[in-house]
Parts: sequence; structure tokens; C-alpha cells
Amino acid sequence: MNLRAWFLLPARVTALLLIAAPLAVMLVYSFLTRGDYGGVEQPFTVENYQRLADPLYLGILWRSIWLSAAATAICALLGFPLALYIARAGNRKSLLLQLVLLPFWTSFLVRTYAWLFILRDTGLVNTALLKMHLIGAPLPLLYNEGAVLLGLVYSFLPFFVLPVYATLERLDPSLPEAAADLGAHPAAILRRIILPLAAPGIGAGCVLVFVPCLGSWLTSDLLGGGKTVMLGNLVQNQFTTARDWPFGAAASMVLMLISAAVLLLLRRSPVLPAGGGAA
Amino acid sequence: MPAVLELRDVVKDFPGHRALHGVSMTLERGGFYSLVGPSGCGKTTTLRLIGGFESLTSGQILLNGHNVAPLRPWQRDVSTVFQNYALFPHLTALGNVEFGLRERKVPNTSARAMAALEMVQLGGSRDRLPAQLSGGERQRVALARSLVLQPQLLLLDEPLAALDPRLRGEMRAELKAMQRKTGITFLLVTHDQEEALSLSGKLAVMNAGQIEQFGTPEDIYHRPATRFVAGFVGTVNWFNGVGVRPEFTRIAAAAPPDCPSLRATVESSQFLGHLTHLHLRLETGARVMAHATVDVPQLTEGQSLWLHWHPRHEMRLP
Amino acid sequence: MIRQRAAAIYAALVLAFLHLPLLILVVFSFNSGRFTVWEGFSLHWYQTALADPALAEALLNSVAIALAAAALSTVIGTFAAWGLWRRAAPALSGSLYLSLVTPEIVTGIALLALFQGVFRFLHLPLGMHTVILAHVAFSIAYVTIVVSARLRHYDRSLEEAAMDLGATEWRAFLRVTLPAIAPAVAAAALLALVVSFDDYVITSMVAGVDSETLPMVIYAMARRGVSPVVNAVSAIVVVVFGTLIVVSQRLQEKT
Repeated sequence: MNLRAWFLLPARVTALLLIAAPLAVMLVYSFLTRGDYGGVEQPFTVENYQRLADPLYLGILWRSIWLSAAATAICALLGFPLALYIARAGNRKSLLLQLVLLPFWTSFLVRTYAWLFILRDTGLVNTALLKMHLIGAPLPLLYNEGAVLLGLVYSFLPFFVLPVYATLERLDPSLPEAAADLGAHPAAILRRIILPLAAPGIGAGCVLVFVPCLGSWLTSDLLGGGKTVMLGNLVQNQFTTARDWPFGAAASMVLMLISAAVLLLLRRSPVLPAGGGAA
Repeated sequence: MPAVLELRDVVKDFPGHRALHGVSMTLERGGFYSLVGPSGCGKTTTLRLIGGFESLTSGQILLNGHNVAPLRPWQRDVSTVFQNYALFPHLTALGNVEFGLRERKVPNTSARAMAALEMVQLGGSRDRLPAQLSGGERQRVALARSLVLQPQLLLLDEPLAALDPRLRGEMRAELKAMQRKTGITFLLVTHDQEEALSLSGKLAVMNAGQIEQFGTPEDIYHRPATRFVAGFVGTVNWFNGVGVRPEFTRIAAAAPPDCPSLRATVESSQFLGHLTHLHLRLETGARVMAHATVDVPQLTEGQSLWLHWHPRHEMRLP
Repeated sequence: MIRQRAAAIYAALVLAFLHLPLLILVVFSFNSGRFTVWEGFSLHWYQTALADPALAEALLNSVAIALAAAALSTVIGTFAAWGLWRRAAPALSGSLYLSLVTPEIVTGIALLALFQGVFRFLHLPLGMHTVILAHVAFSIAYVTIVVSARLRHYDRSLEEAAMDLGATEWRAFLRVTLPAIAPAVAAAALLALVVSFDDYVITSMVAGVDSETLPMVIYAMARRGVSPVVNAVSAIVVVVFGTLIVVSQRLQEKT
């Protein structure tokens, strides 16, 4: 066995045992039946997937998709101008970029908790508004879809900015200049030159936000209370309180399928350059 | 005493194309050899096969009579000077030169390495990092690093290509001196025919994966084996199935008696100081270039004259 | 130009949005009062946090797990990156990509299912070791990405030169390549440390009863209600992580 094979061996073994095998187990479980004391047992069935078609669960699926889509849209609207600004910032580019990314690299848990601190009934916003006598009673800012959406946007905004910045940074600066020279207004330049050329980065950014949002759990758990249930919460529920592993496995598979579909969609489309996204 | 290197019918296939079509060559000990040809001709592939960085598809590579094909690079007594020198950035000049000695667990590595550095006149730069050295200095460190191991054969991959043109002439002389001094067999790969002709005792002209001719510079230049070789090492005028180099053609107002000649009209001329390029057109429509050195008469465009040459300078090649 | 000004203000606002929540958290960790009314500067909550035995034990667990997982994944990931740099290995790259795009909750329960089901034969309960294995599983991809990024700019001829001079492939890697990519490897290790330290979702699924990690404690406290102790702990976490990441990025730029 040559050196390369030896070097790849530990990773291959780890990938097989700890990445591929667990997912394979999940796939099998999704076709089994719930055991009496939790766990799984035979017979094999497709009942778990059929259950997912129940309106209750479809509602959860729909909520997950629309929340993720909304978060993606907001990240795109907020993030694109920022990415454009940074790309044009000359020698402050890397500093600004680091500023965008730094919060992301500090604890995800802490960042989500921060919004808890700010939005709750005795949190910063309500306390300030009460003090200024702008409201009489605390606003229920937390434990609803809005809070979850806010949390998602806050968590994943840098994921959008990075690939868009990367694409814009490589944009030939003489192209917008040429367009201006030919008589285009700034708005037209943006619409007809910059946006189309930035499309691959925008596509990658959308995927990088949408997929993690879809599979998120912590944000909806802490900021949504028990009320906003996304797919991730449903899955976790089945493996803890509900003790219905096969059903949880089926929900996981559906979650992964949708994520895979979105990722594949983008790889195939002309929007993305060959080779995929930012990682 | 076997030849230091022998290639026998070496074939190398890459997925999708054949890079070498059966290359054979023999190098005698102590010589300075070159492999020259246009890019893509297979010269670098040949070098890498000898060095052990690619494996043969078929054929044999014999070093001192021993088949080295199954041996990996570190097992072969061949050393390569890479085109970009490949100096280890984290080691000083001395550290670089010592590297091979350390691998062999030779005693006194520092002393030997210093001696090699002194030989390339870089003793004072022993503690400098590659980033602190100039292109020419880096090349010399790379040379010292390979030579200190006293290999049977030294392979040089376009060693002068990355250098300033002014530096190149100097380095050529230094390389030649180095080879003579150490007595190690050198095999140089280059696309520059002038370099090959000036440095080598014998050179191989390669084209499309084959050696078209292997001979001394004089042989190659005056008695090329193929049209390609003739055209590669210098300019040739071809007409009527015969080729003559511009420097062997003369112009005259009238057809001289006892040598082949043709009528031609002047198209343009370029005065280059030490010679003049004359662009002439033959009656057949073929274009020809002649060199005129001294006493070039004033020529006007459209002027008719006679081109003549000595038959011994004719090259008849298919 | 007005447009430049507007753009700069916009950028500042968005950056403020990104940073303010954390800053607020940190500021109020020094609040002597319990709520979001500023009552005065105090280190009271930090003292409480540092004196809490459960917190201390969780911190120790987190550090031990992170160090072990980071060490393992850095070694495995660096070797993998080298192997992939030499020649592609689609199955492995695919698996690593899969581990990156799989939602954490799915990774967590999948590993739980694996550990419970299969390991029942080996009588291996859940505990620190299962957490370490889980952390190694998801951090290898990060290490591989960081080291691969460095190798992409690494000149292959340096290894060839080393081999030419008598070093075997392994020694060429050890004596030439590894020193050259060392900063990137260090950066990857720091990244693996942070990623492991911060993980809540996967850890909570595969940890045993007596292997609580710091994120697990923070989560439990956050669930119980907002407490300034959490603010204090959070502030410490943010500063430490932030520093480690900045160091990691500097190391990556170094080459």
C-alpha cells in the first residue's frame, strides 16, 4: 500500500464508521417500527413516511421551508449591499470581512442566547420601551416565528455575505466603468452588469443560508419556545420525549432529501460555476 | 565500462496520448548532453522518467548498466535541478545543500555542504533563506545541493529559462565550467537551441515524442537528419527540394559561372548592424532570406539580382 | 459623494446588528443588578460563575474533549488533505461534504442510534469517549478544508526535490511539506478546538449522564430563564473563542 493510501486510511475509516454508517442506520430505522420501550423493531414498513403526509407534519415542513426561505430572502436583501460595499472598500476589505465573520465564530449558543436576553419580557428592548413609557406592558417579542426568523437571519447572514463578496471581488472594475461610459445610470449598471455577474455568488449564498436554516434546531428551540416547531425540533422530539425513533428517522431522511435537492439544484443550474459553493 | 545512461525504446503513455514513442539514447560518462525541442516534444517527460518521477510504459532505463525502472527517486543515483529550483523555503542555503547528505546520514554534513557552496561562490550566503536570494543565487544553491551528492548523472530542467537574459550568458559559462570541474555527466533539457548548441558535447533534438537526431552540434547544424532538425537549430531556405542556410547564400548582379544560382527580386532588407537580412522573392514565388555581411551594395525594392551558393552547403532532406 | 456616505452608514448599521447583541451581553455581565436595568458595575456574576462546581466540572470536560477531539481530527484531517491533494478520492470527499451539509440534529441522532444500537454489543455506554468520537466525526471536514486550501498553493516540486535528494515519500512529507504547511495545520487545530468546544446539539445527544459539557450547562441555564451568570460565562466564552479564531486566521494568512 503506498503512502497516500496510508494517509487516507484513518479518514476513510472514520468516514465509514462515523459518517456513512450512522446515516445508513438512520435510513434503515426509517423503515422499521417503533419498539415498546423506544428503540426499533421489525416489521419493515413505509408507515413512517406515510405519517409525514399528515397535515400536522406537513404544516411543520411547510413552516420550516417558508421560514428558511424568508430568512434567505432577508439575508440576501441585507447582505448584498454589504458585500458590495466591502468589495469596493479597497484596503479595508479584509478588516471589514473579519468583522463580519467574527461574531459567527464565537459560540452559536451564546449568540442565540443573546437574543433571548434582548427580546424577553424583562429583556433590554421591553425594559427600554417601558422606561420610555412607549408601551404599557411588555411586548411578546419572543417565542414566536418572528423571533426565530430574527435568530436565523442573525446567525446566517455572514454565510450569505462571504460568497457574494468573493464573486464581487473578482469582478473586473472596468466593466461597470465601461457601462457608465456607454451611458448607463448606476441603477442600470447594478441591474444589468453587477447583479448578473454576481449571480453565482448570490446563488451560493442563498444555498449556504437556506440549507442550515432548514436543518436548524437550536434557534427555534430557544427563541421559538415550544410553539414554533421546525423539522429539526420534530426530529429531536421523536428521539427524546416521543421515543418514536423510526418516525424521527423518516423525518430526518426527508429533511436531508430536501437539503440535497436544493444543493443539487444549485450545482446543476448555470447560476453556479462548476465545482459548487464556497467551502 | 557501461555507459552512464542508456535509454532503450522508452515508451511513455499518458491517459489519452502517447508522450514518448520509443526513445533510445546513450550517454557516456563525463559528457555534457542536451535534450532540445519545442514544448510538448517529450523532453521534460524523458527527464522525469530518468529521475524517477514518472513510470515507464515500456522500454528500459539503464544507469551504469543497471535497470532503474523499478527504483523510486530516492533510490536512484541521479539528481535533478528543477526549473524553479525547488529550494526548501524553511531551510537556509546551507540547510538546503545539506539536505541530501543528512538523508544519507553522511558524517560532516556541514563541512561538505560549505565546500559545495563555496564552489558556487555562495559561501557568504550560507545562512540566508531562499526568499532572500536572487534568482541566479537560488539556481546556484540548487546546483550545489545536487552536486554535493556526487550523482552519476545530473539532470537540469530548463535551468536558465527563469533567468534574466543578461545573466544567462554568464550562467552558461559557469555551468560548462562546473561540469568540466566535477566530471559529472550533465543532461540538460532546454527549448533554446542556442543554449544546447553552445553547451553540449552532444545533443538530441526531439520532436513529437521521438529523437530525430542525436549528434554533435556541428553534425546537427551542418548535417541535419530531417527537415525539422534543420529548421529547429537555424533558419533554412527551402527551394526546389534543396535547403540552404541564409549565411551560405551570396548575392551578385550577374549569375556567377560554376555554382548553382537563381534569379531573385528584392522585397525588403533589414539592417542589423553586423549583418543585413535580405528578403528576396524567387521566380517561383518562393520567399528566401539571405544574409549579407560586408560590402552590401545599395539595394532597392524590386531590384533583380542573382542568388548563389556553394553546392556543399546544400541540404537534401525529404 | 452622498452615495458613498449612505453606503458606509448602511454597512455600519449591519455590522452593528451583527455585533451589538454580543456587546450587550458582555456589558450586562458586569451589571450588578439581575435585570436589564443598569444598577452599577460589578464582577459579582463572574465570581458566582467561577465558583460554581457544576460549571467548573463542565468546563473541564469541555476542555478535555476539545483537546482530544482536536488532536485526533487534526492528525486525521491533515493526512487526508495530503492524500486528496495527491489524487482525488471522491468517496472520501463526498463523505466529508456530507458531514458538512447534514443538519447537526440529524448527525446527533444518527450517531446516537449507531452508538446505542451497534455498541450495545460491545457494552459501550455513552460518555466522554462517545462525545469525542462524535466531535472527531464532524470536525475532520473543517481540518481537511483548511489544510487543503493551503496545499492548493503548495509546490509539488518541493516534495519531488526532497525525494530526488534521497528522502522517501514519508520523509519528504515530514521534513519539507509539514514545516511548510505548519501554520495552516495549527490554524486547523484551533478551528477544530473551537468547533468542538462550542458544540451543543450533537454533544447533547451522545453524551452520557455524567459527561456534561459547558454548552450543555449554558443551555440548561438559558432554558431555566435568563440569568446574569449565563451572561458572565457567555462573555468569557466569546472572548476566548474570538481570540482563538483571530489567531487561527492570522496563521492561515501567514503562508
